[in-house]
Amino acid sequence: MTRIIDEQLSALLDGELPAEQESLLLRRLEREPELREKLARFGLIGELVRDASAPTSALVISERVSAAIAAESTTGQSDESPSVGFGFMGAGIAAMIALVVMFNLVGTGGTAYSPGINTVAGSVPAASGHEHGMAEDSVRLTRYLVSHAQYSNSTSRQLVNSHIAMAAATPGVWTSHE
Amino acid sequence: MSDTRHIFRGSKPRYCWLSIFLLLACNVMAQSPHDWLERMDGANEKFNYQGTLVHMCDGTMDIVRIVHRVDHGQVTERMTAQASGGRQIIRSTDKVMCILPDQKKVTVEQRNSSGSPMDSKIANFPSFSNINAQLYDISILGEDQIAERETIILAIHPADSFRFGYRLWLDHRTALPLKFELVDEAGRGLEQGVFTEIEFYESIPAEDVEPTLATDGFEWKRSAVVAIETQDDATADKPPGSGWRVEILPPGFKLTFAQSRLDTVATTTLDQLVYSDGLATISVFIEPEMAESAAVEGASKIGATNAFTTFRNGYLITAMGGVPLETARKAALSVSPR
Repeated sequence: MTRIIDEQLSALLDGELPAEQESLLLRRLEREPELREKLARFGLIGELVRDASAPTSALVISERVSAAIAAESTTGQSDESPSVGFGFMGAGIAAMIALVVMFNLVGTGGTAYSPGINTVAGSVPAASGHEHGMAEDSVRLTRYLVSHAQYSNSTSRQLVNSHIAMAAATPGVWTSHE
Repeated sequence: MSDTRHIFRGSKPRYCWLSIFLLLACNVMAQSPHDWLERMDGANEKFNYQGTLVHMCDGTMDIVRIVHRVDHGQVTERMTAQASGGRQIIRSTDKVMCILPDQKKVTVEQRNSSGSPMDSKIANFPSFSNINAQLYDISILGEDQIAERETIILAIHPADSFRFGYRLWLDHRTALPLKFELVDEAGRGLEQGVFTEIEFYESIPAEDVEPTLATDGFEWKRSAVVAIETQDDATADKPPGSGWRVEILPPGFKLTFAQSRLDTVATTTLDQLVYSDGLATISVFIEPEMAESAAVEGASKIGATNAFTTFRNGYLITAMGGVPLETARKAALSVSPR
């Protein structure tokens, strides 16, 4: 069963999942955080390509996803187990990914974290003054982003649109570089 | 969508001949990578479609349902996230509306038409056919199938570390990007989006891009932006507004648009200068520094969009774009009065 789901997630990322299966899978993704975590892990191109041993071309992303699926299968463990195929991704990182996915998908406005970046959100009770400033500043940056999007060309328009969607959904999603 | 007529579904026999004709036509018309870019550039204002986009960056994933309507060249787009109660963003030529059911908020930003060239050609936006070959190497990598449609894979590799590269999976028939990746100079993926399914229509009714969420009891925030002075003439010596310029930009970036406008809520003026090298775009925003401003100096990012904010002589200056942080930082720090 796990393997079938894995193959469906892989096909979804490749845009090759039949429509009837896709709608079912998307509904499951809405309901199941673990499944969203797994999809994010499969599609985590940034982490995948940072592995020096991995091929850098996006053309082989599906092969890498397949390899990840195979690696997961060889563990004989449950869906929640981190994949041994991603040696650079320990359980801690997997948990953080789950957190990030949760915050971004559920839109709680909480604090998310990803390696190397301080992410600040608006409704964190324990946030420092600086963090609150960052959260309030997100409104200004999002206003700028909407204006900037008006002048993006077709190469990057969809990406910028996605950023607007992210920013609108989670006011504190702008992150400050360390 | 019942009164819309479906087009471009290759699996339907009655469109078989049309498909073959279009396929042949595309092969003839789009031989070079630049031809593909030119076709892609116009696709947004030509085709009605709806689809599901899976977007990933920074270890996060979002699923967005997109309805894209074109009426006499005017684009209206409704994006609905599959989670968070189905938050919606509706963008049109003169308005951006965000409905956030999980926060019970609606924000509406109204723009006057002269200040909103969305989805219309900016007079001096560099043509894809004129992209400097010394800045980007553009090549066709091969073909692939995305969302049950044939695509051609275009690779755009930057010549230096001042800009990002792209990999685009362009639909054979429409040249719309069905999958896209932003990559750095080394070819490492930064961000990815893919349509897991997409359908094209001859027309889409206006009501299909209207909000579908009940907003009773929601907090509404409205703002309006009024263009004071707009100029899309890159050849002009003096851009509008208070006359700012960016002194340090990577090779190939030129001023393509400048505007000074009034935010009716903040009651301040905001100058925007837009620079482009034909692919990457940087916006530089300049507004008077307010005593109660919450602006934070330094670098920020969302996805692969980087921003750098600095204060100078009583002004708040921010450079932002789909470019590496260093490019945005240098641009912001080199802003000076003309």
